Amino acid sequence: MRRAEQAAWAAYAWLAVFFAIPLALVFKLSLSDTALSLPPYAPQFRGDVAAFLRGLDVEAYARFLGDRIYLDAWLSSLGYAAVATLILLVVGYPLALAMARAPKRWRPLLLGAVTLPFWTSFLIRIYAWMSILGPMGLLNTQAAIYVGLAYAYLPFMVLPLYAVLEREDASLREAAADLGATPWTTFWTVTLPISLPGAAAGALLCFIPMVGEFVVPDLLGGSRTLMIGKLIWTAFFADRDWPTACAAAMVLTATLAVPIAIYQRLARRR
Amino acid sequence: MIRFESVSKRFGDHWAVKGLTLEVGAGEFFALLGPSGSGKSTLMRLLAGFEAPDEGRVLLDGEDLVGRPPHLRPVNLMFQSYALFPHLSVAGNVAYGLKQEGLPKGEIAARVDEMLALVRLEGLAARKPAQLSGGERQRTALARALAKRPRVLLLDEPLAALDRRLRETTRAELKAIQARLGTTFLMVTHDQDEAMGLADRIALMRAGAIVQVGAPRALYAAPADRWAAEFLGEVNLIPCEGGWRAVRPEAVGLSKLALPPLGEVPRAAGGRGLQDATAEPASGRALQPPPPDFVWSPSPKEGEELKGRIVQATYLGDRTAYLVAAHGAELKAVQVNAGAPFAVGEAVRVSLPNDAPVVSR
Repeated sequence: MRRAEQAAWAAYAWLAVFFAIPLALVFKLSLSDTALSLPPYAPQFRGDVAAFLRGLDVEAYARFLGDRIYLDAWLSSLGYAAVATLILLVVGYPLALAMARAPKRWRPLLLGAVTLPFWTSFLIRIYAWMSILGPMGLLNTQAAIYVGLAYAYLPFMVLPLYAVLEREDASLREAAADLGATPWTTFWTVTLPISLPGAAAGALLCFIPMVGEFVVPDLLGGSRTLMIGKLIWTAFFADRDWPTACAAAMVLTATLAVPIAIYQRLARRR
Repeated sequence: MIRFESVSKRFGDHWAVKGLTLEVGAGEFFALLGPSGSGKSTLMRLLAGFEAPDEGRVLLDGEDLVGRPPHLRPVNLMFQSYALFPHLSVAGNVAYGLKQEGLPKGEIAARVDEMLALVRLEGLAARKPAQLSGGERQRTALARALAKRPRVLLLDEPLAALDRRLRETTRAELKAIQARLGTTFLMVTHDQDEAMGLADRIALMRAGAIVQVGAPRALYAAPADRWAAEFLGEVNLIPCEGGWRAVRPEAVGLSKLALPPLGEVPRAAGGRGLQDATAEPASGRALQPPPPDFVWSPSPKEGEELKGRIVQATYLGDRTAYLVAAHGAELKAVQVNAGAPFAVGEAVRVSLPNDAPVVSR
């Protein structure tokens, strides 16, 4: 086997172990029924394939689609994540640009500063926001969710943007200036279009986990906010309804596959 | 047309250009030639507006450009890396500068077509730079830089990124385009062949200053100093009164030495000169300057002709480069491959031109 083929097989094996098999398990769970047992679902595979397959059904999906609250939570999660992604683009782009244009010797320091929050527990940082937003009267509002999401995901937006902006050839900007473009025009006609792949990567990296985000809406958004991540958590741990939680998770995954597929298609065309 | 007036530019403690004055005429194809760090690129960037001089003035048609940002200068630059916009097509790249001028759409399209025709890229207007060959990219960059009809076109190492064969054809094209448009071309290069093959006049630069300005032929034939002589090509520097004689290898004449008549034993007394001349140089084949006691004798007296022995012959297709041991020194010689080449070890008659220039430093 050639080296490249070996690498490809290693990648497939990795994907199978860490992605395909867990996803298959979740899919199977979503087709099961709840049961008073440990683990709390049926059927469980006991060697009889026919009986096992007869026990599977799509009841959990019917429950998911029949209950307005799931559908609403699913739609509002997409909405929250979309708006938060836009906020992140607006906040993250200037930051990434400033970092990429900073003197070379400062850049490692700036990169370190962006990743510094990861050194502290995520939970503690969100609790800290509770004590900031609380006195401002913003706790348990939509604004608090946006603040929390934008804060938590900022590095995931900034780093891919920084990666493309830092690579940008300075002579392209000189060429634009040479051909009569002002610095402002140069940004809109050269820098921005060239950095779009980085913006798309950052947006995906933020949007996808934000749709399923559970901690931020739970701690900062209060009980009235509906997000699918929170509902899945409740179904799993409060209701012990694993099949419905898994069905919700499968729908979520299927939904998120759409933007990823579009991005891949665009990336290949470039 | 272009005038640099006592221009100085410093980066930190280093003077990239120091007190330099230079004039370039309208319609000239002018080359700034020098090794890296000679200040030639800085000079060009001063004209493009990417750098500001610390002292002096940069004039274009009598107008001082200092302080004017690059986007307001009537000059355009063809970048060494071409700096094509990767997200725009060939046509989009060429149209970019015209759009900044706010020309009407129809006029832009017409000008783009005209430029693409000029550089023979008509069929590739819709291609992205990544889909072009090196030569096509170079021509796109040229079309883009010429589209705005600049008063001066700056070319940064225009042929450096091309392979050798493409360089030959592109050189001819570039010269033809310049002749057709009559635009002033100011080129920067470290390659003396590129400068001599393209430019009407060359400014030879070193350490932020100009060493010599002149037509390629004049620079090659009469270098200002020893450094200039060596930078512009291979040269034999032969000590003489007041400095060195700079003899280009192709000016060194080699001819067959007549064989002594059969049966005649070479006489030791046959010529002191011959004995000396054909002796192997002391340090073998390594290139070395002639020893100080070598005396320049451009026109040997009869019976005292300069004789040498071929030490090395390098076949180069159209010509052969020789190293000839003569008078204890090694001379570089080049001969067009017309007849039979000389063999290593062969004794030859060496003739040196009487009119080789003397360089003093």
